[in-house]
Amino acid sequence: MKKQTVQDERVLAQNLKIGSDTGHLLLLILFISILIQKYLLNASFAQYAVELIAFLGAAFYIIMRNVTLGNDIFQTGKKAKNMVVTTSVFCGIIVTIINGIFNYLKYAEHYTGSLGFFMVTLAITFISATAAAFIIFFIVHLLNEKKKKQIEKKLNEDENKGDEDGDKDFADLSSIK
Amino acid sequence: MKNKRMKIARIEKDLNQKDLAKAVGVTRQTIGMIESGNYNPTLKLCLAICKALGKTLDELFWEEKK
Repeated sequence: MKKQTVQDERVLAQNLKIGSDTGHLLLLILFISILIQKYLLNASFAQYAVELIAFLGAAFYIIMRNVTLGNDIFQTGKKAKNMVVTTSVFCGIIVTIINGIFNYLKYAEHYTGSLGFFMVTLAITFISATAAAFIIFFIVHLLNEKKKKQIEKKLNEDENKGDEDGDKDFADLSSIK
Repeated sequence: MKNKRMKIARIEKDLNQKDLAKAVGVTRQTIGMIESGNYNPTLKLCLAICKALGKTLDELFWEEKK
């Protein structure tokens, strides 16, 4: 007779959590490593290309996996559209701040007198970063909504099919009791 | 294994999957997967579903005698 061993679900859940936290930590370290190599060490693209590809690949995997499973990435309805805009603006601000800091550190001597050119640079960076982020997030949002509709349609079909068997289910249950 | 008892309890309460999901605080997909037997809910979720449907754990989630 085969002995059935019970898996300790608490330990399993802890192991999964540790794995998840490790993944998040690695992503953060990758991001910081790319910033340090690019802006502080002035490394060539070839030197941090692997980290960049790994970071972008992991981010892409996380997003697409959630999309294909039908998980909400940006909430639902009107809130989703607001979140797309808010997230795009937030990304634009972050990119502008990072770029602005390193740009000023690198080219401070060129910004003598007025900071007009610097402000224009920041404005262009903000607009283009926000626009690029908006396009990407909007596409992800559209894919997410499309997948959620497919899943809803399948659930509706299953529910309607189940309703047809409803009388049989009631009969089965009454016979068990 | 499909959870027919949960589905029937839900229909008795005149709730669709979306209503039950909202009452419990999960997505409709989760309720659908529990009913179709494709997801094992935690005890906490089972209790929340029982509370929403006014049933006991035994009535909804205990193993059916063959």
